[in-house]
Amino acid sequence: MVEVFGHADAYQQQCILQLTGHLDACESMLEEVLQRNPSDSLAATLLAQRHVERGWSVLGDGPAAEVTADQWAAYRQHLVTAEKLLIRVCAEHPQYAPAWRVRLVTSRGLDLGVVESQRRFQRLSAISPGDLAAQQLMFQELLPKWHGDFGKAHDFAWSCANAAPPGSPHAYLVVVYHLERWIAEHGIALGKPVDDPQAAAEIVAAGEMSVMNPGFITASGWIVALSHFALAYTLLEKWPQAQSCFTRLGPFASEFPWAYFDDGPRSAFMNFRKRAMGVR
Amino acid sequence: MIHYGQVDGIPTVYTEDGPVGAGLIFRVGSADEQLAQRGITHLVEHLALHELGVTDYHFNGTTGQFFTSFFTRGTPESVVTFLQKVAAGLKNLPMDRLEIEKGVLRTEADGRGTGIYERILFWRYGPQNRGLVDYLELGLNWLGRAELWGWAETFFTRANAVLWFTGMTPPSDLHLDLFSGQRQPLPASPEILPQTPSWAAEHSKHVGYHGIVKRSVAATVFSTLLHREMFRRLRQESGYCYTPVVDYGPVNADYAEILAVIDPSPEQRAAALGEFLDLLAQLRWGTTDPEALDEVKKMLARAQSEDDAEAGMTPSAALDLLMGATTPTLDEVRAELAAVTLADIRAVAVELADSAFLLVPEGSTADWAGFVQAPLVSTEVVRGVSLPAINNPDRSLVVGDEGVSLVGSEGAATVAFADCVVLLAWPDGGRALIGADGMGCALEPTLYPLTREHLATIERAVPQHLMVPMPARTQDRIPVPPDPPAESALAARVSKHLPRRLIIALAFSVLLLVALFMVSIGVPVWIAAATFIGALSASLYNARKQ
Repeated sequence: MVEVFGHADAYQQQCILQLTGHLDACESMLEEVLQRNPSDSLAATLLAQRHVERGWSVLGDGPAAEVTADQWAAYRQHLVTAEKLLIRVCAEHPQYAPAWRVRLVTSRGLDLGVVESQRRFQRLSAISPGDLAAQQLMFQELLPKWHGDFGKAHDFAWSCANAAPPGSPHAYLVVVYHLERWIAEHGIALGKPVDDPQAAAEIVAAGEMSVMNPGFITASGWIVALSHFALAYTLLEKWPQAQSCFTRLGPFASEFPWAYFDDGPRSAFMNFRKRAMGVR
Repeated sequence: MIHYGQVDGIPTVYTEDGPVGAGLIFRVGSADEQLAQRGITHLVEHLALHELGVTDYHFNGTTGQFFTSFFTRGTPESVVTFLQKVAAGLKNLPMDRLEIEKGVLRTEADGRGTGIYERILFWRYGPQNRGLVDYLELGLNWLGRAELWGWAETFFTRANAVLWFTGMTPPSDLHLDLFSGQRQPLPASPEILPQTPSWAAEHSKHVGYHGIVKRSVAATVFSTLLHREMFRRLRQESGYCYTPVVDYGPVNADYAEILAVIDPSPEQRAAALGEFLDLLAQLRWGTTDPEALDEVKKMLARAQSEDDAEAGMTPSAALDLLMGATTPTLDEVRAELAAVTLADIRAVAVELADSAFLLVPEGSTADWAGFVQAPLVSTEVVRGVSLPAINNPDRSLVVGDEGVSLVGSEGAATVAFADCVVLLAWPDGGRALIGADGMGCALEPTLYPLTREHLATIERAVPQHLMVPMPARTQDRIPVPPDPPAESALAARVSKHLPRRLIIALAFSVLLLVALFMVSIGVPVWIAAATFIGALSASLYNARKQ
């Protein structure tokens, strides 16, 4: 595990972390490892992520209004456990990016404030410039559904897009921004074609910087970027671009943006692909 | 060179270097007082200095937690005159000045704000010993000649004093006419915090971090290093705050306290706190830059080789004598300084972290960083007669044989008579009890159906010497109950449809009202604020939905 993790890039590390977090069996093994060596940064970070997952699963899938006080308390307890582990990892290894990434999630969940999350993001960016996973996490908090507003989210998405080299996936955050905005304004009636010239212009521009750029390759983040642009182009009825994205995706897809839809990510992906590829 | 000797039987520290000055220090301070007589030491100091009036040399007196000092600069002759006059003043306090000096002290208190250091001591120690620095000088309301004479005779004595001189040789024939007395050991100051590291939030702009460590040169190096890192990371590199401060000072022969304070800009408050806690974690768990340590050691070594370094050390050497501590020589300090290692720094960081108390601005939290919240409510309610608040079914006052409790939806504040440190009594009938754990109960006959019998029960249960008469309150400061509720059916209909925000706003107002009641009766604002904030956060946390 240590070897695999060591060879993974930033984005892959975060994916591994999130996958491990879902595994129950890991927890006691990780605790044992830490007992023997409390300074094991990987074990501590994995265990922290595990607690983050457990915290979120305590809240369940229902609306926030239905969460009980006990559930909130248990959720916070898990996040506090995670954060305490991570504080120590970052103290012992200030350059250990995976721990800083999970601290973006704990900062958001513990309500430490956007300003504190931004501090952690800046630390992380200094260690790991252009860290897409970090940008995704920071972007989430800047959405109004967390602690930000659409203005901040918009500015951040574009700053990430502009800072990335041509052909990088990062500009897909601009698509996420518009999708989130459309959802907030129109609800999950997000299947219908969208008439939003301003957004269209931005998405097209973002596309030229990333997935539609000749330099775009199947490097980390390629699936989630293509998935988002595929959906956006379909909604905007930009068929050549949509078809290009779906073709390149092949059999692959990421959970989001397809999980925005009620019929589930798999069905949503296939419906939209059918819609896009069916156009001559 | 620092020399040790005796003048008129009083232990003396002196150096011939530096400007001519002297000090007479007694082992007594606010930590020796009880809340009911708070201010007695300060009052004695003021009375003793009165005789000196306006002079053409510099003199001063300060009353601290453990020591009261009278000190001056001038010529060898003026120094001697000063010391003699202070001693004479202490042996024969000008009691005809009593009421006037009380007025002076009240004015002084009005002008003085409460600092974060005092607030931290309040949280750590409560209404006794070291925590008393944060309380009003209640003794000014009633202390008389007998009490002041007794205090002077016990504490302001030859056996409980030390002298220091700089820039001169102490005159061997100096005679100071003081009471003989006995040496008074430092009072123990038990902590009321159930455990550390601990945190609390208050209405304040600053963050304060306080801990206790063993006295050592390594600890002073640590403090300097901490300040250097705070300045670099919190000011220079980030601009999160403006003037970080670190203070180090002995509290007894073996231990010292370290206080770090940061003044974050309001927008960056959360980031300042996060960065500060990460910095502390790094000192405690991680590696400190060896170059930073070397630079700090060099800087401190330079400070010690300055002229007059020993003159500067003389008053602290005098305090050490009173504390029963041995003051190392400058050479010993230099050697210890050179020997400080990274491991020593980490050891201090560990000790500091384990004993720490963190005070943060309202709205911030610290549970996520491993701090346990200091208790805001009592865990128990006394058994007794329950008196519901007038027009306010959410609150009640319980009066029992063992104590009193104020009960609300957010929790209870209980004061057991056995643990009561003071009973405040206003001419209008209002009462307040403060317990050793810092909890306070306001007993207002305007808010609760308190009868004369209830009040008599309470007064019988509290020893006479803990009762403090309070000055009369103006009408606007006597709390009034809320308006009676509308007809019950109408009220039920309305409350079902009250939007959540309005309910929270009502809860806020009720809690604010209670806090204001407590403040108006003179209960320390911090108890009221603590109760209010704790109750408010608890109710907001419960009501909160994401």
